Amino acid sequence: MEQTEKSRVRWLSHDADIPREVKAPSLEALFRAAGAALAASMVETKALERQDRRSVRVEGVDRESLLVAWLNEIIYLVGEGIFFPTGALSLRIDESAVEATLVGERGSRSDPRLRREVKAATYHDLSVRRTGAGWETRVLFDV
Amino acid sequence: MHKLVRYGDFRWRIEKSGGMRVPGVIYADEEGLEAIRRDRSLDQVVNVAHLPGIVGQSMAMPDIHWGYGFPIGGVAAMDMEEGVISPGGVGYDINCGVRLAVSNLRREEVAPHLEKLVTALFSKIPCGVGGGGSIRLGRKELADLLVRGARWSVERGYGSAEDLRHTEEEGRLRSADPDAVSSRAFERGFDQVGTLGSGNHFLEVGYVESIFDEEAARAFGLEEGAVTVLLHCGSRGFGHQVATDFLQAMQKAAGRERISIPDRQLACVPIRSSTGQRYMAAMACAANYAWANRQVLLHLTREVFSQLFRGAPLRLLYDVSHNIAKVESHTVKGKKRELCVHRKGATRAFPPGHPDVPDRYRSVGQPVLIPGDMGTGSYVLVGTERAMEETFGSTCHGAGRVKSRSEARKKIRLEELERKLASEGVVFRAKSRRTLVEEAPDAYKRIDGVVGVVHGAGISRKVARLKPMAVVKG
Repeated sequence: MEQTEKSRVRWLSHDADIPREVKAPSLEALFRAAGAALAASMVETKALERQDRRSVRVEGVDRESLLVAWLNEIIYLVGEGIFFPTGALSLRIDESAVEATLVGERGSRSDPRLRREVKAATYHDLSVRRTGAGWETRVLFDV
Repeated sequence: MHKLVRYGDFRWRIEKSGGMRVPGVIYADEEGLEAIRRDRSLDQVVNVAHLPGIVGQSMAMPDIHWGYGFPIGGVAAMDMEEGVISPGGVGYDINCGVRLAVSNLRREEVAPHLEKLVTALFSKIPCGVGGGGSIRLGRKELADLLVRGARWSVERGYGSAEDLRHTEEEGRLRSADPDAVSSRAFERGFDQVGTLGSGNHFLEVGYVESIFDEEAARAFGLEEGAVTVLLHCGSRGFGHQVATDFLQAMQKAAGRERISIPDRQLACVPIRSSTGQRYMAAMACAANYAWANRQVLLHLTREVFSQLFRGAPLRLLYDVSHNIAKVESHTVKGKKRELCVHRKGATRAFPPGHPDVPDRYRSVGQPVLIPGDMGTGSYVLVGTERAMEETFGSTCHGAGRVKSRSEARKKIRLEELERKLASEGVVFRAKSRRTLVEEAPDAYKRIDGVVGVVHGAGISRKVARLKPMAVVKG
């Protein structure tokens, strides 16, 4: 899930919630970058060790619903203190599912490194688009 | 840019166009409208007007701000046979709401002990990111709570039957069915009953600063100078998971039902469909979870007050939900109809004589609780007949943000905020400095302006203004 040099995450302005614009050279990199930005807003990822693994599989009906399901899985894992990911050893996307092996630390709900509660990734104004340079999305989190 | 036509005091209309099934109506003054135009919340009023089965108009209260799907401050009523239910019209924090308790203590009795009080409350009330509570439930017990709501809390000693009488719906939606709830939502609900959470949720000790309506204030038991406790929170991770589960399910179901919507966050299904019925049952579970949660939080607060102020009681004045969809009976063009009223950041405001208003308040109307920001003040309003005629018995829910969280962090200095709160006489404790800055008074609209609009428009009436003295935030 690490942001690569070519992936970019930018904060946008929204009154109530946290919107982000993510650009990446591939769809997989886009999902990794969006996931990394989300995890970093919820927990201090810089302080985490890459010592545990966790398999994740989510389903959706299209790219947008796959992205929302992927991000909501991270919200669940981090928010409930189950697993704090620093990255993904593997990430595979097909038409109806995302499968990944996350690497990071097992956590707990009382971990002082937790920074923020995020309720959900939303579909608000969401699109996952192919551009000349790769892929981009804007995603809004409800906090 | 949407064309707004003024039609009376504080009322603006967006006429039907394109796929809109009804017009949009916005309650605002000129100043408020200027702020509203700066974001895209009017687009969202228009988008909601596209939903199948919407009745009357797509409405926005004066605290409207840009949400996701529905605007925050949005109200939409749907026909029970032809209409849809949309989790985006309820929000992720299902039954986020407010409860107000009144003590027999005077401001001057509590003021010298504020530091001690806020420290004790901060230590007693689980709050902040990830904060679990002291109540751990098994699956069977949680299922019981989901069905019984605040009654579950009262039956376990966290309150009294009197509390239930003074809670919207008596703290329990009867349509709750735990079988409609995912195992993940259950998992997230096991240890969060009796927790405040973080973000804009808070516990505030204040006092009645001024009374505007003597008769209603008397019925509500409010006197100038009386110390109050205001609690704002919701259904925690349990409710977020229910909303997430059903938004995802409705992405699939909306395709099957061939419902065309302008924003996927408005994903919806017919109320009478099996997915619609399951969502209603699961949403009711989350609503009940929130009522049980606020009931336990009040109990914990009572324990602190009782210990510090020699058994001083805290009487629950009322508890309102401002993120919910409920089946209610309303008169439309002279005919009684059953409607599913979505209130997303809006509060029920039923009038005098309505059977759902508790006996004690029935002669004056339902208490409406409007929290402001942590430095300024909050309001107690009362529901009106005008609200029943115009807004399906609804009014505003709070101040509404004017600064994004990131803008607040950039522009508001913590030290300055601390000085400002101290100069207002507000003592506070917060788990997170970031939350404190993001929730600073300057990040919100002026509550007096918002309440001035709903009072001026007659969709609720001012009863009392509360002034904060001590705030606990997550």
